[in-house]
Amino acid sequence: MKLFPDKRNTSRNKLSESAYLYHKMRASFSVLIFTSLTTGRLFSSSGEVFFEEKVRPLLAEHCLKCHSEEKKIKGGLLLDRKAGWEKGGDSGPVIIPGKPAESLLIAMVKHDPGVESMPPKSKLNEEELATLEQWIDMGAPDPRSQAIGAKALESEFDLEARKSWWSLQPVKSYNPPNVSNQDWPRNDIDRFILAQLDKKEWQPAPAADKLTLFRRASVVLTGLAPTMAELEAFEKDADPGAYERAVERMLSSPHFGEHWARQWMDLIRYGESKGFEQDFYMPHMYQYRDYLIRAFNADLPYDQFVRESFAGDQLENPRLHPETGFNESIIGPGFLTITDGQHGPPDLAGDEARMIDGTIKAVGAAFHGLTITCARCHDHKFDAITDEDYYSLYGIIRSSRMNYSNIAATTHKPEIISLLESAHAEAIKTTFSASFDSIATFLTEVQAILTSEKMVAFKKSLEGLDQTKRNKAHQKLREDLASSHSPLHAAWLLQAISGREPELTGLRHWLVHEKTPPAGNDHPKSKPLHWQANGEGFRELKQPSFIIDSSIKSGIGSGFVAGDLSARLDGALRSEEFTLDGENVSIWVKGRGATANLRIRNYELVGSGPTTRVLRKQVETDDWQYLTFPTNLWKGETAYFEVVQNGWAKRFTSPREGQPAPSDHAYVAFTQQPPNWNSVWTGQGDLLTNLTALLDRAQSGKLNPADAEVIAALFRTGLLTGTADRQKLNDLRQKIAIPVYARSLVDGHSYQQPIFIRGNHKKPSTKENPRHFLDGLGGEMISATGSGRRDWAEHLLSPDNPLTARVRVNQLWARVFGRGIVSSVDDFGEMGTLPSHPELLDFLAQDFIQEGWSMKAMIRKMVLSQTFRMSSVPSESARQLDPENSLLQRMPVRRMEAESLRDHLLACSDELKKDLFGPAVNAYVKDQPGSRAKPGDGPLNGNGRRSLYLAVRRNFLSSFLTSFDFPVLPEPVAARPSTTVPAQSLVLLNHPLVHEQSLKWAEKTLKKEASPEERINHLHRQAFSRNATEPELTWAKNALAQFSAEHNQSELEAWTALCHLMFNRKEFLYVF
Amino acid sequence: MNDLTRREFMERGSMGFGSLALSGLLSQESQAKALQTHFAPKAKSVIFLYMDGGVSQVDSFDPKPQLAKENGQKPKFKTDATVFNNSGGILQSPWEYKNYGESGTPVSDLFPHIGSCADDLAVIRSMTAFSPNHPNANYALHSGLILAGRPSMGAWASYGLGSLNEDLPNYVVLHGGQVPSGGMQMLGSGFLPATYQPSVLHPKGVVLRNIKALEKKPGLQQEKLALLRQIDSTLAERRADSELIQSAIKNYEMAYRMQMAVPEVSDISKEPDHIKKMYGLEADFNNTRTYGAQCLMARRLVEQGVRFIELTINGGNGDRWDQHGRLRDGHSKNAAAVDQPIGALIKDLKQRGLLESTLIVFSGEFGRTPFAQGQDGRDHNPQGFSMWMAGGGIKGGTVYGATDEYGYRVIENKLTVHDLHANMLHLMGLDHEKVTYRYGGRDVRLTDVHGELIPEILA
Repeated sequence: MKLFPDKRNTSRNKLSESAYLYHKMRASFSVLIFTSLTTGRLFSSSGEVFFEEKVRPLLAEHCLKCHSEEKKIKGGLLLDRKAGWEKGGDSGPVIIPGKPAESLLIAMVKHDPGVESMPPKSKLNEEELATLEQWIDMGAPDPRSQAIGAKALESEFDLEARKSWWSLQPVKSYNPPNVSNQDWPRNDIDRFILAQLDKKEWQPAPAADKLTLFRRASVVLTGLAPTMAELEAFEKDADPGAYERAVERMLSSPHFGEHWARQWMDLIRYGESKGFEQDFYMPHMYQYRDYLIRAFNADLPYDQFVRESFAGDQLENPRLHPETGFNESIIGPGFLTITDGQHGPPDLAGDEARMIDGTIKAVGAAFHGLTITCARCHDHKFDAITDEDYYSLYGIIRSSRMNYSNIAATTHKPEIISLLESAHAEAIKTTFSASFDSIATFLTEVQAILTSEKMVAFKKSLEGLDQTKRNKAHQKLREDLASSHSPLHAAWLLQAISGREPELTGLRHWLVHEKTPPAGNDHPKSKPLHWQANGEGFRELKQPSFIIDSSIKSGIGSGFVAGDLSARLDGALRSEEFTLDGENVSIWVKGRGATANLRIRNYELVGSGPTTRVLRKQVETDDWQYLTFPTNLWKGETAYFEVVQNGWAKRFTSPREGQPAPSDHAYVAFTQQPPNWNSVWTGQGDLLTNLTALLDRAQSGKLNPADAEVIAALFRTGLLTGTADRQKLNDLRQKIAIPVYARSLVDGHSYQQPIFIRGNHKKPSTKENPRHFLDGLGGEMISATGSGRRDWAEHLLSPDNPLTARVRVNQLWARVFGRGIVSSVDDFGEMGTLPSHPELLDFLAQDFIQEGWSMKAMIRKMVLSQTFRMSSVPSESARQLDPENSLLQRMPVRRMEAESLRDHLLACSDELKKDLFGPAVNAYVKDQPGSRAKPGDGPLNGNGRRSLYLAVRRNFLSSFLTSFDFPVLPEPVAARPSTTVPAQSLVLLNHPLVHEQSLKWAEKTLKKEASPEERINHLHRQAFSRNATEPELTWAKNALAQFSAEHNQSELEAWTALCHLMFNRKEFLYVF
Repeated sequence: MNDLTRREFMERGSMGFGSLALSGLLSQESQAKALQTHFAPKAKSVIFLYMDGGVSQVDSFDPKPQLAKENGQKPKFKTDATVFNNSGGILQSPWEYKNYGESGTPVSDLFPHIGSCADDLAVIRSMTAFSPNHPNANYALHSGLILAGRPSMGAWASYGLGSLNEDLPNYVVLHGGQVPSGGMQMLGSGFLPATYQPSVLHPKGVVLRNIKALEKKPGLQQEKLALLRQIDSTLAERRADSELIQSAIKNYEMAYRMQMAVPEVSDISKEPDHIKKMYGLEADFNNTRTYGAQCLMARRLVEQGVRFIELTINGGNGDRWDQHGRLRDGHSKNAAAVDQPIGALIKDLKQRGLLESTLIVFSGEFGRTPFAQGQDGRDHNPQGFSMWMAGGGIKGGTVYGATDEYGYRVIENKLTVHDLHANMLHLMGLDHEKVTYRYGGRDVRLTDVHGELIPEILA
């Protein structure tokens, strides 16, 4: 008996009490039975006696600790009353009276595989098992007639009651309230703030001084302190509206987007690697970061942002980058592909469930402000979220497939494809005409040799020889021919002379083709699969096609091909899903630079796991390959094939950014069954005749699939030699941009995911769970076709959904004011906090929608308010009574975010580069222990890039940043904590970057002609955006003097030490 | 501050998070004071000996004579999917077992020194893991969940207990060089405030990241700090709302004290020779010396009141305890590295009267299969493995739980990491159901919704 010590006594007491009761009851039953015997009247059934004698004590000993009203009700199952087991638990009824073999309870206590073992930590003995079976066999007589009690019922989920929660109520219109001081408010925000302060009779803090406000606004809006030029310009601008003008400049600064992108990156758990054992890199992920920067800089309306986030791959008119013309919208769903993951989980479905749970958590935190994942194992304990809701969203995510989408595809006009098609056909035609002359010559030569005296004599010499000798003679002839003719000629001659089909071991090397393709199709046991092409690369062939380089490289008789028109028309071909039966599955593929995968579920495998590496094949051949994938380890799972052009298996096994680059020679083709072209030499007529007929068909444009393969083979042998005139084709091909990839999604099989009973992915419910939006918000149905992502976005944006606007303005508010109106920024549910200013929240939410979901307009409103302009000095009463400043009596003092702090260091020393975008710079990880997964060490100063561009390798984050609360989690962070821990002081005192930058700063400072006072003042202006005070000047001069006098420091060393001190001053990293 | 601390405690006990987070963020005092425990603690400190990679139970603490009888034969029992899917026949243990001490606890010849402490050990043979994969099982061992990024047990202990010594970090990882599969962040504080992050100490070179002053001139850093204090005080005057600033200023003082105290506590050079020898610092095998230094540092940290100390193992043993092949070689080396130092640690703590207030836990993330992988290796086995605890509050000389006759699956008293964590917190005076932190709309616990005490191993 394992109980908690503080409960132990009481529990034991209760136990002994129930034991006592039991004995008492048993005694009375004995009496009853005795009575029945003496009177001859059967008072109690033998079944009930059996229950009392055998079953009740067994249940009390082994089951009731976790399944009784009095203790716990695990799995929703009560075994302390008949009604309990009749109703059953989360898995349904556990006892079927009379049928022990069909009763779940028996399977569980017998520890049958596939069901949960009960009791979880021990097993009943044989006698006890027999008792239970016998009891159920008897019909499970049970006299315990209590109804299911309050405690069990209370856990019943009352959706209607839950829906009355404040955050689910419609956004109401509120007029800005009247306030005591009409002069104080600058805009409506202020009226709401002041009205609350009025109730407490608190005065709002006075306005902050001009430069304090200026620095605050700059850090809040761009994450950077003002530059010297900006500071000077602001100081000089004495006209009214100087602050407003400064704010406009900051809002339109490209650094605005960088800073505000980072908040979103926290929410959606941005990372560039997969964590776990090997921490594999995720190529192209940074495109999503850059997408966010551009979106926020362009003030992409939030409703559009939501649409793109869920379904940017499905918009009829995607948003294009104004300069490059790249598809912006398609990058949006990239956030749904940000998961950790590993290279070979034995339970792949379980790991996928874990990953999808993480994605749902991020979606819940970022878009809904709800803890949806609490409904993974059961309905939400507090909020109006059902487990059906959770699995609805699960089904939507499960119905999408990760895709490397070519964002440059939008830079060419769609017409170019038909132009390419005709140029391609043209090039083939001219190649044929240029080539067929050469074969005629060849054939004439062959004829001449065949009819030469030597050959005739040779043929004659073979007569009467046995097979062995004939073979020897052939061998000799081959050698003779080889010395005087090309191997090709030799092989053909040999074939012609021997009368046999070409001797493949010799010829195969040249023709490179299997003699007889083995029978097979894309999946051994089922019908041919339906295939879906994603991207514009793949076309299903109606007539044969050829891969043309300088000449014809390969022929594809039928099936799907990508890369024949242009390697830059990029795509992936994916099959429908099928269930693996444990037998091998195979497909026919050929191509260059391509990859073929068998994807189990939608699991993104990276690296090369011991068991999973067989699921990925590199395709690097111009012949049809019959790729076979063993599936015995994944029997019962669903899977699909995926053929990726420009797939470079390496992108999956050892991913690196941009390596290898997309190739102009990449192509890939898939066919259900390669044509059998043996008939060319085994069919009617001799080879030469057949060949001539084939060439005729080629010239008249009536090729059959087999012909295409033969022609390509002839080209590869060198038998056909003409070069292609592909000027026109090449010109067109050059007009297509080289593919640029982003991680995105495409729709896959449409899943309606039944709930997993108690969150166990091995126990899906048999009950259907049609996809729907959150029950608490109306539960409207979501399209049963496609992934349903688009519907989800539209429901999020529906006027009936009050959360979306509230949640987003609250996120913005939290970052501007240091605290959300709802301070639990990611939880608007019952476990979250109530809004400090509910009417203001609704006012802003409504305003947000009315202003076209403009995030910049909303932020502008906030920073232009008088509230934002207040000083950070609290009144005494507010400090006492509202230490957390929930009513905003003053602006909060706050520490810069980790990134801003590092950026500010680099800015002071003038080392900060303000370039935007691009792949990440490796972080400085020299100070972290080495391991196999450790990436290359980055430069100490990160090449001067803003911190946003440092690599986010999950297992190797910059220790500088994490010391200052950079999120280390694969979990969403809605509001960064801002801790004060000694490790931070140690960073600023002893981190080599800080020392390096101190030196740089000192060097730059000494370079300028200036007096020491001017230099000291300049340091203060750079660090704090204000002039030095007299005491500060004195302090700094003393410091310099002490450094040189007492520590014998050179001028540069003394100034370096002073700069180091400036970095360590509190005002450096705090914003007032 | 005492009031604040008590308030925090009340809030944590009753309604959870509340303003605790804020105060945790605002000030380090919350950490620099010991918090009141839920009941009298048995152990003030924990030393977690993390046997990265997974020690084979049948080769260490769970003798299975049946393996020798069926050596080489195809397993007669149903086997689960393994990571490498390369399972061979039954593989008998290359090591003999001896019964040690009055208790007669059997320990294999891999661990003679640990064996000699058998009467202090409670060996658990019925541990199970949630995953057969290193990272997932590692995450679970440390945080209770197979997810990355959750707070580790060390962070929870630090959060629940507060500090006994404000000059030293409260939660220390003594890093032997082998980064666990899944990354060092599994040792981190997850969503708990950074206050509860571990400080990673290295037995060689720079002891703690950024702990070493880079100023070359002696006294220069002190000078700088004095100047900083001077100017900081004027700033604090300028800024009335200064709890945050005051706290940041104090932070420097603490950092400075730490800068002094950490190298001192880590400096084992002045330990007497017989102690050094006892810990294996003079051993021939380099890794014995490294792990010996870690164990000795662990003892010194315990003496200074550090709450939670976790030791990672050393690189250079061929591999972690992850012998998919060459079991004899790899396990021998790994054992050679840790056995003598651990034995010394137990005895040394005991002779100083510290063992009774220090909980030592020895565990890997899972065990290994009783059947071979390839010819001479063992694959991962989450279905049953052994670990042990010793010291504060532990009933020494006990063996708890059992696996089947092959050492493959637990058949008696099945435990999970939740139970391990519940018992660890219990011994430190904390009710694992009450140490909660509000995150993602839940009052999250180290033990999730599980965890039970094991009276049989508690003294």
